[in-house]
Amino acid sequence: MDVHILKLTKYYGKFRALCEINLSIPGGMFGLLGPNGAGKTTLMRIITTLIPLSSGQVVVEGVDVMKEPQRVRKSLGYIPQDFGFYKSLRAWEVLDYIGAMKNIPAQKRKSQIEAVLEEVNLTREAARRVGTFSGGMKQRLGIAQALLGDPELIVVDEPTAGLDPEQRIRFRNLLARLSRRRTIILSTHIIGDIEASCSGLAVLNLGRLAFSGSPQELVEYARDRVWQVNVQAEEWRKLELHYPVLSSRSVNGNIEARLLADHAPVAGSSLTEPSLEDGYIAVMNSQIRSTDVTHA
Amino acid sequence: MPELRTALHRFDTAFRTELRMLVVHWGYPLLHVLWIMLLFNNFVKQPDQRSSQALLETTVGRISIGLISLAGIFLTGISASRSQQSKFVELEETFPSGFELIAGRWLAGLLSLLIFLIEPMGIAAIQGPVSSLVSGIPTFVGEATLTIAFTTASAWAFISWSKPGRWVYPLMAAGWLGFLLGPTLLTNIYPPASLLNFMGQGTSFYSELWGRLIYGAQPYWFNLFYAGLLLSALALLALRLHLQRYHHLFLWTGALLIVGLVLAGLGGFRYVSGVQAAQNARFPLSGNPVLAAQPAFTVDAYDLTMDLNDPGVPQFSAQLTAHNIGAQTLDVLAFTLNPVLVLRDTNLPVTRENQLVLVHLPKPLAPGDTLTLTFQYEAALRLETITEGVVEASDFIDPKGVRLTPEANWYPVPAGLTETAGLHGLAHIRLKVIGSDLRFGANLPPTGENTFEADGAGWVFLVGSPHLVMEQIGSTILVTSQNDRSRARPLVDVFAGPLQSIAPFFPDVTVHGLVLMVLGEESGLPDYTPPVNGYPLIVTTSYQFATSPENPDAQLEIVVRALSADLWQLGGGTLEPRVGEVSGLGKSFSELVHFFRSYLESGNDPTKMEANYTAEMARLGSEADTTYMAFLDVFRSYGKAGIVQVIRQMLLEGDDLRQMPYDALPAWIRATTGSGQ
Repeated sequence: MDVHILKLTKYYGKFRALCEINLSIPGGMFGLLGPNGAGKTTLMRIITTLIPLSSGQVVVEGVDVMKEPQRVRKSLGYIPQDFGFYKSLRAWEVLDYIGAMKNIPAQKRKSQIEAVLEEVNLTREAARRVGTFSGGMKQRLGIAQALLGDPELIVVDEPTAGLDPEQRIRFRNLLARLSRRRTIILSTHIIGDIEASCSGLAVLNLGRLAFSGSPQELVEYARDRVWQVNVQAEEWRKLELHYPVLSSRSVNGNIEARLLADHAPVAGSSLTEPSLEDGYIAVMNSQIRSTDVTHA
Repeated sequence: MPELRTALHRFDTAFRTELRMLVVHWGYPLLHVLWIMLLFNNFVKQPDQRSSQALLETTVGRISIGLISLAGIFLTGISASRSQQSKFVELEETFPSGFELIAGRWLAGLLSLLIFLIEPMGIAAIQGPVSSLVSGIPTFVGEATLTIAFTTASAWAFISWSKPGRWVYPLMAAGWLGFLLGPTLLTNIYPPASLLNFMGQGTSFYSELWGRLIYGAQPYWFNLFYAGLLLSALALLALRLHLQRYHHLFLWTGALLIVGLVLAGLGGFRYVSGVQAAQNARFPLSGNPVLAAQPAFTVDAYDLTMDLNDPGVPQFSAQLTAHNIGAQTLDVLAFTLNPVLVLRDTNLPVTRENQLVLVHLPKPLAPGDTLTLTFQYEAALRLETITEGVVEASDFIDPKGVRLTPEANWYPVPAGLTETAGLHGLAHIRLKVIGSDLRFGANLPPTGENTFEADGAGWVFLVGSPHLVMEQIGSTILVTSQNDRSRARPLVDVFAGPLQSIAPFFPDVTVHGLVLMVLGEESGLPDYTPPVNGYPLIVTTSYQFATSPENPDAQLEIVVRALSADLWQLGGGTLEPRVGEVSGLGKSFSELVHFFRSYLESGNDPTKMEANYTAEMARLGSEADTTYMAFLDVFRSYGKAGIVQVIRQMLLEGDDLRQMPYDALPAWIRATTGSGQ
């Protein structure tokens, strides 16, 4: 299922949250990266029909989300950043309720609920009240409800925020498996989540699209710009003021660091292999510089 | 159709899920327990002796509707904000569902509230009779549903549009309180404000005979107004949802809003018009003394026929025997007749000026002569008053019921005789109602089917209803409603026994029986409800005596006073208005009543009477009343004959007594038998 975003702009009052975003999301898993406040959640909420856009167009498999939101909802699964359920209901009842809301016929609903509960490893908790669930269990129930109705588009907003490392890995794997047959848009600021599973990604910053492409292309964005340096502490203080620091550590009183620079920052610097995170920082850095210029 | 089917399925799921969440919660049965305790404490421990329907229409029903509405506001708050509170809203709004989701949840809330109607219906059922309960339930449940639906839909729409925090609960409760008290206060200034009293609080009267007939179409317009607002609230709710989730309006939502507003506008307009019409309809006789001087004639006999074959236009026929009681011949006889009634034919030429009907005599009527006059007239009649902004008919002729008091002035009455409209000098009255399936009763004893006749009648009180019951119990003619019958029957003994004991003190008065009207319809009746010859008249309610069983003295006082007043009037005495300064005559009459009460309580033993009286005065910390003691002295010395003598003198010298100071009364009483000399 393709998602096409054309010159999308969103205002909250006078505040412009998104500015003329153009983006095409093919099938598979697609990552949406960006710092807090970049506009990721706003974009997600527009795609999931929760809020209207101000101008532009979002088309999901040929369906305009503004004109026919109900059609988009029929093929949509959504896991919001922060969500809950009616606490007095049991897990099974929650899924049955949501299944009914998603128009799953009663005769198919039971088997689907059993399947999704199995998928997220909650079969044994089906009869438990949701109010007694831990954060991780609630998150898994969130995935289960999103899978109900076998939606072709799943939108996941900051999904691993409340999960421990093991749960995160399991969740990523699950999403990766699901993405073989459908489109999954994964919004996160955890680059590891994207790196492990996405075939395409976009970077948003300050409401603008900063990058769009594959993870490899994002890595390439930083190629020949990531330098390894080993300097004394005094010199380091000057360097970190002038160059974006990708990582640093103290070794025998010296600072061993990776910096982002178009040219060797100091004598003895050496180019190193960039990571996805380096690409992301490079994009963000170029955005900041561009914004500075604009504002200047 | 598949879309509709899936929408209905979602509606059903939302309804069942919400109902389960509301009802399968420990708070819900607890609320029922508290509700039962409250109702039991207020209406079972202190019973209101009215029928099931009366309870549902007034106290029990109105309090239930009011309190369930209040509970509804909070419950709606819980339901409407549940998704937000539990952070489910983000998910919910991405489902391909629509208004059916909210409608199902709102309806579940409504149903969970309507279950609270079972308890008040149970309380009403205890009261009985079953027929009354069965009659009362549809209206009660219907109006309760409308009111609670309106309250909850409005609250849901408000929460949906404003998305407030928890602070909204006290605000909405304050709004509820405002609507509870505000309209009642406002109606003093602006009676149509009663339209805002959406819970119908303050209603304490219900007519067993006519039900809502006395309110005319007003309850219908009132309900239509709120039905319209209910539709509007639902439309606003849908509107909000559609704007938010579909980014455009649906035709049906706009249509529903328009229909709701039109219905509310129509209902509100007609209701307010009804109140204003009642406000503007100045009854023409009030404050309009037609003739300053007393008329020089009276009517000796009335033969009245009311023909209800055409219920829309009742026909009246009145034959009167006018009697010149003055010293001069009369050329014109002046009568009053309600100007609504259109004269069709008279045996003598007449002219009308508003309520005044002047009969121009072709030949002057000599002093002492009599003359027969006939009047044929017609028209529908309905007199309305406003009580706390609510329009009530005091007099009406309707296919479903008839109520006519002197205030309606529905037959010609000599003008200027009394200050009270419709009253006249004592006359022989024969009244017949034809062409109606209703059952009729009157202050006059019945002499045939829907026929009533009596001598010495100065007024007519006619009631007609399909629910009216008239039965002879001993010498008492009981007129009551079907629903009050079982409670009214014991009242026959309450009045007949004392009447039998007191009547011998008035040997000049012939008592054939007692007309006991247990109705609850007292507006428009003259003070003391004067009797007709041979028949003291009591107009009372079934619950008047049952509400204060803990005070039998007060009850007996009421009974004795009512009977004494009638015997007194039958003896030719006049009574003072109940308000204002009490003259010597009034004081002596009051102590005579006291004497009778004591006489009945103490088994006519004067020693016991004095002992009881002394004890009562000691309990009250009062001094013995010298007038009462004078009655007791006379009774002790001369027995019943002595009191009879005092009463005869009181009747003969009423004018002198009226001027007499209180402290001269004991001596005067004793003097009537010679004991004071």
